[in-house]
Amino acid sequence: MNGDEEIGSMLRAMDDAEPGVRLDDPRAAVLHARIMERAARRLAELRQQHTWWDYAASWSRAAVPVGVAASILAGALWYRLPVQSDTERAATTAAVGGDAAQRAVHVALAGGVSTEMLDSLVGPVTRDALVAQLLGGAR
Amino acid sequence: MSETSTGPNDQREAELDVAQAAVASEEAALVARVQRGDTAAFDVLVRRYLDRAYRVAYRLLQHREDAEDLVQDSFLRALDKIALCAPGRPFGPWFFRILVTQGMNARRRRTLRDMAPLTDAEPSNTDSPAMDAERSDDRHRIRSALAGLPKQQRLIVQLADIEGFSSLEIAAMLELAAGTVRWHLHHARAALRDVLVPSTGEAS
Repeated sequence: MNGDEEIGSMLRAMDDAEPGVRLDDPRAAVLHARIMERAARRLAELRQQHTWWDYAASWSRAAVPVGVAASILAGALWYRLPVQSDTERAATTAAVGGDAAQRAVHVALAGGVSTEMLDSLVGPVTRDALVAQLLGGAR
Repeated sequence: MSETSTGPNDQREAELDVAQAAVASEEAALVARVQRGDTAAFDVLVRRYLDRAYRVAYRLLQHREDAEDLVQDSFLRALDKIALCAPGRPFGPWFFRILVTQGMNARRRRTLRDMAPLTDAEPSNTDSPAMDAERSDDRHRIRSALAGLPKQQRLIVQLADIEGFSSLEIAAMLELAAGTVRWHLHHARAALRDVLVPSTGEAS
């Protein structure tokens, strides 16, 4: 046994005989219970954080395909919009200058606005009367 | 300590390394579970380190209740900071660093009741009164020699020679360079040897 080992074994022998340095079973059980009791709230918080994070992470996985789909849809809508807006622009221009209603009807009768659109605006029953009245007034 | 090991011990040390790596890997998994709030995983870690943590805390504070409070606070602090425990890192060294830092802070804050309040242990066996007296005398001499060391050297020699921590582990706990720890250890052992070895040689 070299000097260092001898010193070590003497220290350990002294230590074994020291009463306070060992945690006996009852005290260990009490201390363990105390730690676990006080840790419970923090562990619950960690579980909560983790649940939130899982939720966010699962959505992040879905976010890319949903984003791509949304972009395609938006592009398709954007492509279709100018076709409709020409007609609408003509109607709006007519409505702004002079006799707005008459010009709108002219535009409508010229085929720019569908009868379905007029039906949806004034109703099928009143449409003919409204058109007759407006055209009569114009004459 | 590995400093004294030679060739024949190499295989044993290699086996020890493998075992330590397995423990580290298992602990990393436990830490990952604790990070998700797993009570059972935290319970395993507490049970595994409770006894050793108490002994280190007792060496720092020299008082039972204070040591128990320190252990409790250190486990709770470790739980608070568990997100900072890097993935794959074993729990033990990281936890003991927290414990020792807290213990050193507590020691600085408090006016310690007495750094050497150690009473002699009760007679533990049925040896003759003369043998008991001799043992008690030896213990007293060792205790006095230990008490004569500077605080940090005393702690280092206790952590190394009694608790079995490596120089690297102690260096991490005390935030010192490993070389500094070895230097302290060398001087502490030399001082203890000067006091103890001649007298025990005479006794035996």
